[in-house]
Amino acid sequence: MHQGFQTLIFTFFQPYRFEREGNAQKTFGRDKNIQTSQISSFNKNAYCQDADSTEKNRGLLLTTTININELSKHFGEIKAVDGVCLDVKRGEVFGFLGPNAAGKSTTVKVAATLLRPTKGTIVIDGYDVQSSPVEVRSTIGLLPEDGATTHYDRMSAYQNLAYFGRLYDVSEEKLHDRIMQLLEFLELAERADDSPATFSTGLKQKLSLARSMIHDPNVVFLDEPTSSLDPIMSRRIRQFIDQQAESGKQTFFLCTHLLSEFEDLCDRVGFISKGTLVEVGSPKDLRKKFWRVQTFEVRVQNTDLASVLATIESTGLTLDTRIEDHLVVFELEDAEKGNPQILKALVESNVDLIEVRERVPDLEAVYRKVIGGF
Amino acid sequence: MIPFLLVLMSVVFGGFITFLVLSWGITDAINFNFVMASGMSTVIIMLPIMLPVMIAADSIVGEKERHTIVPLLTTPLTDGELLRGKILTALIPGLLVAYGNLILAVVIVNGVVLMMAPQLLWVWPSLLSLIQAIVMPLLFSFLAVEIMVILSGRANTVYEAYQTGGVLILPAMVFGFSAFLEGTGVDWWIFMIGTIILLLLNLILYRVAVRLFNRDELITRTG
Repeated sequence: MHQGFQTLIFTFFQPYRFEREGNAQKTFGRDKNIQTSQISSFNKNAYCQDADSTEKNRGLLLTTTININELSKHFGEIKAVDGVCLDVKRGEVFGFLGPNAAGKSTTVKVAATLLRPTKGTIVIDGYDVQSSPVEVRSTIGLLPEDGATTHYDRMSAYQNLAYFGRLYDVSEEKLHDRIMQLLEFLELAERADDSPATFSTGLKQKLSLARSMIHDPNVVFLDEPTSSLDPIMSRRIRQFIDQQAESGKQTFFLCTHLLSEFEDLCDRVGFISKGTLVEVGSPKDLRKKFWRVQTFEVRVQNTDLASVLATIESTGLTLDTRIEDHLVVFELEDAEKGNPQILKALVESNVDLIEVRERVPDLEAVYRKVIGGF
Repeated sequence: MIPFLLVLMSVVFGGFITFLVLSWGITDAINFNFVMASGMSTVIIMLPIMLPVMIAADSIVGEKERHTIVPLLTTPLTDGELLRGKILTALIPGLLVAYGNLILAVVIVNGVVLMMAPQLLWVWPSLLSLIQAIVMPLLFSFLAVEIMVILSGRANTVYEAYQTGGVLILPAMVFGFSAFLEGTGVDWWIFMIGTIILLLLNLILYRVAVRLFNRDELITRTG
């Protein structure tokens, strides 16, 4: 009863939302002119390492949804986040990857206006988290780190979503359809009237995801969305994010330490370690950048593996050649030059080839190489 | 909970009023009004203050304990809206009980007195008592709730907030309320001045509550 009553109270106060604390903008809604001018004012600091923005960078900034500039958050002596600079484009799925206590969640909490930055700024959709926190909160959806435990157990799943829908100002006409759409999409519709207390961790996480999307936000922060989920549930959640991202309207900012899970989902990833952003790029580019040596495996039939190994070695192009699990494995520094010659040598030696395949290192391997230490 | 409290109060009132009438003997309305104003009104206000204090103690730190605070803090609510919501959520159930109690008390008191002494048609409350019984619970409950919401925002557990508030607020509130009742020398002027002071105090405390509300501290504070 108390929670339902609270819904009524908060809903009652919605019309008075424009009474803002601090220096928040009076303008509510997403005025394109305001956004552009606000973004322009951040141009000169948009890239920490490249303060002199080129025309190209300016073009990019107009589509920037999340602009993190020199962000630091210290807890006493502990530097949880230290000088992070990052731009995330509209419609992008960005993976913020790092081990536990790397500073991922702290960055998200600052972006969600839960924590004040010690230094630096975050601008989301043209709104600064410190001067326009209410507008930022209207723009974003957040699935917190412990999302599965953040529901009101005295309300049903439907009521939980309706409560937050009203707090996010979703109109009553749209609210029911939106809730049912999300519940059906996440295969929760049959449990709509049940309390989240009766849900499994996976179902609770799905409900949290639905809650973070209830107001159709422009930017969605998902903090460890699949941690503690089984592989099937985890895959379903990834599919959901993928489907949502396809529209290109929403920007996803994913924090995770399960690097391999989100490898295919992310357009770009950022590696963070000990509060510092170490590297940013597409998984493919990062692989290229940090995995200069390419590894190939050769599968053959009716041929002695030792003779295949000798043929490959005889080209003198490989850095290493070895036999692993009935495969001949070789490493090249310049695959474009070396591969055709090796293939030619194999064909000329009448090797009965089945396939030659590149071993693509996963993101975790790249991360280990970038960060090192584990 | 509210219906339960109303039933409980009607039983308590009925028994207590019958006891008063039988043991003291009612001779006139003025005498009875004094007894009611100084004694019963305190009882009327006791429960309404306790209920909001309990709810308010849970309001912020309870959300933190149940891990629901983060989703709530990321909604577009301003600090002021959030606190007003919390204050009213705690306040309104208590006021419903207070005004329910008042209606029950008026009906039972006058009913019992009428049965015992048919010559007395209306013994309680007087106009001043009635206005006091309407205005004072509102102002005192508001004050108690504001203090509790501040404490709840700064405590680490609901228990800690309730313990601190319970020890400091309840006795002060009950004492303060009792001092404002008719029959303790309070006339219209004193009542009006007291009301204005309480109103100002409530406004100041609301501002203080909004000023002290700190999302960063709320998220990062640990036991």
